[in-house]
Amino acid sequence: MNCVPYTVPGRGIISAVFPHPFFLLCLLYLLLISPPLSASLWEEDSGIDFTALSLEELKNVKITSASKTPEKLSDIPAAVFVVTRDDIRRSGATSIPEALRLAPGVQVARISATEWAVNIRGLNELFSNKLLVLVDGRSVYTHVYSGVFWDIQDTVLEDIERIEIIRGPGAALWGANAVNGVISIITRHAQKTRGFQFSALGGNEEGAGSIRYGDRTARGTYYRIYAKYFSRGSLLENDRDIRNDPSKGDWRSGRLGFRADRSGERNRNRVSLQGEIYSSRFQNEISRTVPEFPWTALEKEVSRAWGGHLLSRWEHRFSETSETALQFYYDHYDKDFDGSNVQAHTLDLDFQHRLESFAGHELIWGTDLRYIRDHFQDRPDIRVEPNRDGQYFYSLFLQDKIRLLPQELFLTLGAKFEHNSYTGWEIQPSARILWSVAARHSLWAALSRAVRVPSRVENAGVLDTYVFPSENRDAAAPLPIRIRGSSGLDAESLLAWEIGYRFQSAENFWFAMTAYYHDYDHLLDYRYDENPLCTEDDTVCAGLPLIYANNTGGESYGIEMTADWQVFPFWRVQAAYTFLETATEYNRDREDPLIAALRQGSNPRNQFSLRSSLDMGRDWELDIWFRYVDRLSDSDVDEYISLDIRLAWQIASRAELSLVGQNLLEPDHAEFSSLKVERSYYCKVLCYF
Amino acid sequence: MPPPISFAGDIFSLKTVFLLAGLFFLLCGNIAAEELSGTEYRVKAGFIYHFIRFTQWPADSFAGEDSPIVFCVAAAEPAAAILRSLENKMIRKRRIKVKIHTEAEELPVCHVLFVSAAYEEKQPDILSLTADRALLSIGESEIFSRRGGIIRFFTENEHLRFAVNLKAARQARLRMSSQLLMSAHLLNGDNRIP
Repeated sequence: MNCVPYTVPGRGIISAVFPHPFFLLCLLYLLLISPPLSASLWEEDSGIDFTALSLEELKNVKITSASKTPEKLSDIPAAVFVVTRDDIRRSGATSIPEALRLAPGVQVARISATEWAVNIRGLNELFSNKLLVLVDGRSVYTHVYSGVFWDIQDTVLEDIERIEIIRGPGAALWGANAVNGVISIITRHAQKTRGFQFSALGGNEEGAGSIRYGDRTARGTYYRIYAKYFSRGSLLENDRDIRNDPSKGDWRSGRLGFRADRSGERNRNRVSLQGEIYSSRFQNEISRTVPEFPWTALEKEVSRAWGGHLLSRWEHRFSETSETALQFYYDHYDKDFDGSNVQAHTLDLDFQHRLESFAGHELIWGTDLRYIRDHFQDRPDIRVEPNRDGQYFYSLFLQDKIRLLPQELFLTLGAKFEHNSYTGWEIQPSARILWSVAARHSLWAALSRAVRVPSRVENAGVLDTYVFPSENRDAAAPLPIRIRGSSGLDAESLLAWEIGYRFQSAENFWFAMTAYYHDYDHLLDYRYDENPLCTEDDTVCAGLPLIYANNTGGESYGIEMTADWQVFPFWRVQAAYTFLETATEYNRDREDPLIAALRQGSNPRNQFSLRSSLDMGRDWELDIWFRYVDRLSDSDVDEYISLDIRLAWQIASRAELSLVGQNLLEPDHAEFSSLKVERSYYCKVLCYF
Repeated sequence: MPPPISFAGDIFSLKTVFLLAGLFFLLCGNIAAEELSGTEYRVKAGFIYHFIRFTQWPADSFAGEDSPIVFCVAAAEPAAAILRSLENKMIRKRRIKVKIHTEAEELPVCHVLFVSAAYEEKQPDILSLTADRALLSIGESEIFSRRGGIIRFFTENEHLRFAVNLKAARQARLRMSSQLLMSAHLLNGDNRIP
């Protein structure tokens, strides 16, 4: 039974449904109705029995309505998972990347106090450069290094409606870089965030506070304004000799934002406007090469970032079977990274049209135009040439969901045609089939191609670094290495084969399983630079000159399983298991151990998560979350087990007081590098009025 | 060894907590109720329950004293499924029975009929099939009242209202209690909402 349907704004086909803490209501609801089980409650807003209200009381109830036919999770031929607002609240997560640990198949590892490696079905790579991340339809994937600057992605977590995670290629709809997955963060409609909301959090690792006010204007526009501030400490570094892991600390970040939503008569037109500005700074240590022993010097500096965005969206419904969405946004950030700085401006215009004019077909097509202008500040060891550039991306996509057998067999064919300034046209097709085997069982399979476009650094960057050739660092000077970008690169490509199975019992149990095989080609790696661009007195160039090349292939396969069981109306248990195996092809250049070492990075082979959410009476909640993450063989990081416990007390259903302990089993553990995440605890108050 | 850098952070966190906790007690002491909101069809289901409760059918409409009230729903998902939640609700001695996706030939058994605006566009003659029957018809459009529909929903500043066509109710031999009529916009011949 699907109680809460979800739709990605503007990406009409993907939506999902999950059991929910309002499950009791759902259960009651289920008992009241007999099959077919196609009911949707639409909203999580209230568990109110409206028949118990009088007519006059009913006249005072404000109504909310949705126009799109939501698809049930069991109807989507892809590996989809939704983290709900309530999941986030009960997890105790205090940042977006931490909240992503809730989703099965997502590998989240904290690299430093301000950096996270977030991967889905990752190949052996340091950064998750094949994962697209969207916030309310705005891409936060940076073209600088193909990834996400997680330290500048934040919002009032209580105002996130849900996070949708699509594992596997989503390129046919989302376009380039949606190779291994898409994460779509959707904030709440302003209509749902009326009144004051206030939160304060303090603990041994962090302190945070947020305030939000929302209301409805006399002319019927809903809006909210919010402010958030946090301060976080550094991670524990037990070995100060490790030079490549600068400890980052004293991280402070503040942001201000708003969102306004307005609906026209009978919801034919819906307009949304949102904007945000933020600023963030943290202490950073950068090790730079110096010409004499000990060859490196640690420089302390303050890494700063600021930015903001403005997004508008207009949805128009011509009829039940035809609707369009037009979205425009501007995004800017000015951010220090690795001792350098980048300023980027992005303008994006997106149009989509969904129509069901032909019987048995649901058609979605759309077009997107994006312009990115950037400016890099040259530093001795990171340069981008030219340091100013403007890039256009334009694309067209078309998708048709064809009903082969009513209610039973659906075929979805789609393709995205996208042009970028580095590799030209890229075609990303996909074919998906969904078969509802029986009332509660469904099977799906998909074959799709996706690409990742080279980043700005891979295209035009020059990075100078060094390695110590022997264990004994005193013995020899470090070997300088220069890595140069190449403008002749192709896009990395993936051909993905996926099959999935889902089972949903009528009442309280949900299970999904996916198996996949990803075949990568044209992966970027280093090779010897036969034609290094050296100046006369260039000492770095005398070392090991490398250049990016599409010289590697690779494959990965795995299984993802997730189960959700509402054991009793007051007790819910969720479990997830992920198995991942990766291999990169033999590559002549990798015979050089230095090159191999530079590219290393790995993902946990096994991951397991078990979460229990218990309601104790009306006022108390106890959440226990247990996670096992396998060792990272290539990076010498041990396996770890973490235990998080949250105890919350609801005061008069208008306020919540919670106490959270995280990573309780050990004093500290490493997740990605030598930096260790410590045991932590915090206390939080949240109130609405 | 705890890193020295986090010290500043700790002090800051504590300060934040005290400050914010103070604010919390200042602000949270003054809790005001938020306006209740609900999904359109769930609220409509609430209304319809009362429409049924406050309507009296002629005695010959039912076989016995405790035979069910048949509520027919001519609407697509998800509205139909939501309205289905009225199934088995008791009104005095009668149980509500919900029938979804009403076919023309099923209409005679209905006591209550809900027609969504979208359904009416598709099948505008649905009311003519029920003429002269003791049927409480509930719709969503102005034209529904003009065609002889008895109750119709409309919205006013995102709040639901309903209008009752008294002439049509009389023709259908339905008696509505004053509790219902006092909350309604009454239509007399002229079907426009004032």
